[in-house]
Amino acid sequence: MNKNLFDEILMRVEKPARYTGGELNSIVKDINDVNIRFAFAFPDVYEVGMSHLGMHIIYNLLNSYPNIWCERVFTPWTDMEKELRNHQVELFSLESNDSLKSFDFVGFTLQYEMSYTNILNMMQLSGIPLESHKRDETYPLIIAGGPCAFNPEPLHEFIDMFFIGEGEELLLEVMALYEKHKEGGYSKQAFLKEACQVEGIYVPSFYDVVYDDTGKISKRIKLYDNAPDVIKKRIIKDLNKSYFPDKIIVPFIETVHDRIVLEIFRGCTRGCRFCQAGMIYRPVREKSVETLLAQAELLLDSTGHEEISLSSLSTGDYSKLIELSQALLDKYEERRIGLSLPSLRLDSITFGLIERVQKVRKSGLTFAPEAGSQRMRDVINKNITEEDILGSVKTAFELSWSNIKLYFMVGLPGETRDDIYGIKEMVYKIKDAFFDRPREAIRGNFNINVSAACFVPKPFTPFQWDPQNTVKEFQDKTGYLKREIKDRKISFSYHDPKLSYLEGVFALGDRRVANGMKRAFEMGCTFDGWGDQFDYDKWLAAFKEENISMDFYNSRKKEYDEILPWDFIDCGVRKEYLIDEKEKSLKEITTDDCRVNCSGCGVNTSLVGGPCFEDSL
Amino acid sequence: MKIVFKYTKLGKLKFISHLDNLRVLQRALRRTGIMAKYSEGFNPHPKLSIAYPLSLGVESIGEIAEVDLLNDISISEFVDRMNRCLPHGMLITEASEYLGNQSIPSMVCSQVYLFRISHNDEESVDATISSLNGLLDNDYMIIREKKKKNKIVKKEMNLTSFILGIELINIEMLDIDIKITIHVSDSGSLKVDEVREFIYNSLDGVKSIEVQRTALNFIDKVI
Repeated sequence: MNKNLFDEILMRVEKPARYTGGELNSIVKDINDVNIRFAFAFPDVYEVGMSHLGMHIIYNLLNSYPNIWCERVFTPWTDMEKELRNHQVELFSLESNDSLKSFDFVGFTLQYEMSYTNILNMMQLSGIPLESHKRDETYPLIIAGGPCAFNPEPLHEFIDMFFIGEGEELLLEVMALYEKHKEGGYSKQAFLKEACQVEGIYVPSFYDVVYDDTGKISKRIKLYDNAPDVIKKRIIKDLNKSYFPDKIIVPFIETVHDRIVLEIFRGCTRGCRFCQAGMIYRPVREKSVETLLAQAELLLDSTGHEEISLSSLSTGDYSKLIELSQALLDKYEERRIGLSLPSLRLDSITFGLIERVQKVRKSGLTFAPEAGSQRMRDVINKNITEEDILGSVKTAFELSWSNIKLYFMVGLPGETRDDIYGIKEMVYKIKDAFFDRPREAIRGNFNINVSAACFVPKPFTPFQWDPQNTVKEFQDKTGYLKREIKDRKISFSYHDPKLSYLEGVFALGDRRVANGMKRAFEMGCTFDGWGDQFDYDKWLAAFKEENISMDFYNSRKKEYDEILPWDFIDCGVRKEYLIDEKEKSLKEITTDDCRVNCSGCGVNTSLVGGPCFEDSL
Repeated sequence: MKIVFKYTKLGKLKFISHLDNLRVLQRALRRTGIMAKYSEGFNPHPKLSIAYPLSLGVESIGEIAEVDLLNDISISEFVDRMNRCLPHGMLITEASEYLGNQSIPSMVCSQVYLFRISHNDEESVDATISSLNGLLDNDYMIIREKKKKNKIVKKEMNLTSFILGIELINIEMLDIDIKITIHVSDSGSLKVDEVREFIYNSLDGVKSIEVQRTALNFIDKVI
C-alpha cells in the first residue's frame, strides 16, 4: 500500500495508532534474513489484544530466533474494515505492513468463542480462502491455540492445525519441523502428516465424524491412518525454566490493561465445578519469587509502565504471595510503581498487604461469591461461606473502602428461585454491614456494583453434560433480580442472555455448527462480543437457513456415555473424575482444595508423573 | 527543578493523540529512571505537561513540554537519557532549566505552521505568489458547531483575524512553502484543517497541502 493512501485512510478512522505499529520494543527484521514469517493474529481490536500476556510471550519467543519473524495483526474496527474494503487493501501486519497472505503461518489465539467470526473476517480481508481444503501451498498455514482450542470442532473447517495446551515448547517444535519441510520442497499435506505426530497437535482434516439418527456422534473415523486417536495437551513442566520476555511492546494508545503482567503460577487447586480454566490448566505450577523479581525488573526498565499486576487464576493461592508482594513494594514503592492483586481472597494477612498497596495507588475491591445461597455455592464447589464474605467486606469498610464490586452467576445447574433470591439477600446484607456501624465511622459515598453473568457450561468441567438455561429462563432470572434489587446505592447489571446462549452453542458445539458460523458471518456478523455489534436475529436466521438447531447443543441434558465432540482431547483430567464431581454436586457435597487433599483428577499420573506438589503426600 | 524541552513528533507518531503523547513522554521518563515530582490527590501523576495540543495527523519539529523533576540534573544528561528512551520519531532538540512561576501552557501566544502547497502547474504557482500579500485583506468567516446539552450551537468567527502573519519561505518547482503564525488566546485558536480549507478556497490550482508545526511562541522566554 502506498504511503499517501495509508495516511489518508488513517486520518479517517478512529484511533489510527491501532494500525501504525512502530511502538517501543516492537520488532522489525529484514525478510531476507528470515526463513519463517509468522503472523500472530488476535481476533479482536488492538487495545484488547495488546493486553493479552500470551501474545507478548509468543511474539518475543518466536522473535528470539533469528530465522523467524513474528509480527502482529488485530481485527480492524468496522471503520477501518470499510476503508480496507473500499480501497481493496488486504489486511496487513503492523510491523511490515504486508498482507497476511505473504506469511508462512497465521496463528489465531482463541480466547473466547464470540471472537470466531472475527477470525473468518480477518482471513477474508486478507484474501485467504476460509476453508482449509481450498488453501494450497501458496497460502499460509492457518493455525490456532488457546483455551477455546480444547473444543476445536466448531472451527475444524477453517483451521489447518490446532495447538492443544501450552504453546511455548510446542510452537518451536513445529517451527523446526516446518523449516525442515521448507528446505526439502514444501507440501502442505506432507507437512501436516508429520506435524500431527507431534504431541499436542490436532489436524482436523485427518478425521471425519459419523452421527446417529438422533444427531449424536456415533463415532470418529480417521482419514489418515497414522493420525493419533487421542490428542494430549502439552504443558510446561517448570515455569522457572520456560521462556519469558525481558521486553514487551509499549503501546502508544491506552489499552485495556496498561501495565506489566507477572504470571505467578498456572493452574488452580480450588476445583470450582463451573470453571473450565480450573480444569484445563492443571496442574498448578508456581514461579519462584526470585524468577518473578528478576522478570519484574527487566520489564519495568524496558517499558516504563507504572503498575505491576500479578496474574493467575487465584492470586491468593500463591504460596509466597506475601513474600513476593512485600519484596515488590519494598523495591518499587519509591518509584511510585503500583501493585495490582486481582482475584485475591481477603483475610487478615492479605488485608495488611492491601493497605500497603493502596498507599501507592488506590483501587476498587472485587468479590466473586458466584452464587447467592450456600446451597448453590456447595453445588458449584465455591468453597466460601457467607461469613467469609461478610467478614471480608466489614474489614474493608473499616479500612475506609466504600465501593465494592460483586460477581454472581445465574443459570447454574439445579438453581431454584431461592438461590437467585439469595443474591439479593447477600447484597443487602453487605449494604447493612456498611451502615450498621457507629455514625462517625461511616464515610465515603457507598456504592455496590452487582454483576450477574449467565452461566455457560464448558467442556472438561463437571457441568459439561448439563443443559444451559434458555434465553427466556435467563431473562426471567435477570429480570427478577432487576425488579428485586431496587436501591439507590446498589447498581445491578447483567450479561446479555442471547450472547451467553450463543457462547454456549460454540463452547459445546461439534463440526456442524461451523456452517452456521460461516452463514452468520456472510450475513454480516462480526465483533459479536461487542454489545453494540451483536445481532442475535441474524444468528437465528443463519442457523435456521443451515438447518442447525442451537438447542441441540446447549439446551439438552447429555448422558455420561454420550460421545462429546471434544472427547478425543486429553486434558489430563479423567472423565471419571468429572462424573464423580457432577454426582457430588447433585448431593451438594463439596470437594477439598487439591493442596489439602488430592481429589484424584488424574493429572498427577497422566501429566506430572508424580504428586502435583512437592509437599503433598 | 523544572525543565522545558523542545521535541519532534514525526512519522507514525503524528497519529498519536494529545493524551497518548503525554503518556509516551511519561513512560519514556520512567524508563530513564529520572524521578519526576508527583501531583497530590486520589490518582497522583507525574508533573509533566505539553504546552499546546497538536492536531492528530500533523507532524511537528517544535513541540514544547515542561517537566518538574525531583532532583537536580544537568540539562545535557537529561536530554541524553530521554533521547535514548524515546520512540522513533520523537527526539528532544533543545532544553533548558525553567525558573519562572507561570505554567508553560498558560503562556502560549501563537503557533507556527509550515504549509507546503503543491500546485498543478506553473501558472498556479505564479498566481499564488502574487495573491499571498492580499490573502488576509478580507474577512473569511468560518462556522464552528458545538454540542451543548444535546443542542448544536453554531458559532461564527473570522479566520483571518486569528492569523498574525504569512511568510513566504521557499519556492521549488511546483511547491511553495509558507509559514503561517496563528494567534492563541483564551478564546482559542484555529484548527489546522480550517486553515487548510482556507488555503484551498483562496488559491487556485492547489493539488495538495502538507502541514508541519514548526514552533510555539510564548509571552515570555521559556526555553
